[in-house]
Amino acid sequence: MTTQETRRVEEDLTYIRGAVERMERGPYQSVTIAAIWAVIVAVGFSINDFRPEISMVYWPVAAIGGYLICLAVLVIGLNHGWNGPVVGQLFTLVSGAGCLLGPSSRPPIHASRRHSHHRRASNRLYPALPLDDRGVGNKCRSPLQRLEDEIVR
Amino acid sequence: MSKSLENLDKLLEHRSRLGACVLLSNADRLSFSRLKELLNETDGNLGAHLRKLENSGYVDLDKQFENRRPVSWYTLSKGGRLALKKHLQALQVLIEESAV
Repeated sequence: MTTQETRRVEEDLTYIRGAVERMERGPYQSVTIAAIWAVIVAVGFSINDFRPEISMVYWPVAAIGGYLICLAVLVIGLNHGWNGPVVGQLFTLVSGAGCLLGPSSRPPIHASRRHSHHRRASNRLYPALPLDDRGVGNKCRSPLQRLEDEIVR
Repeated sequence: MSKSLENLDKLLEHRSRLGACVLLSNADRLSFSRLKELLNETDGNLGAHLRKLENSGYVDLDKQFENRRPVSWYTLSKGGRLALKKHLQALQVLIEESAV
């Protein structure tokens, strides 16, 4: 192989490397989507702890909003001829975020409700136990059970 | 050295054709306009190179209509992938031999 041929091969490889780098630079939006979901999830988990009353509104809005943004990016990507793996990565991100957000999108159980839930469970286990002063445990008991409770008292 | 030269694929010796195959090997499919943008080629040149690859069975062409516009999607065939692999291996050997 002559020096001229070696130089030609070198130039060709530089040209191809440039093309591959241009292709890899293209789908920068996938990073944007990952960042969007990272912020949504981080803010959402913090809200659950610090402002639980907003959480009920936040999660459905953020989940639907995030999904619509991702869908828009996918449509734009497909229209611009992005390749399959990139679109697949985006779908993976969307579905992964959906799995994360799905169980979290339930309204949070407030501390007092959590407490009453525990009491209701213990009343089911031990029906003969006396009810608390507020009668919280009564809500989940049938009239017949309440009558039995009165008789026991 | 001569054996390495023999192993080079004549069709892939042109940089546009080699570039197109390398790009297609990293993607499921690429449109003509995307390939043109990435390879910095004119419509005519790229079309001619891709036709050669298509006639040799290295790439598959799928023409579709999207928003009433024709879009040509190219994919690397199994034969094309194998030929590219062999060509790159031969090229690597050649470079190593040249470096010695």
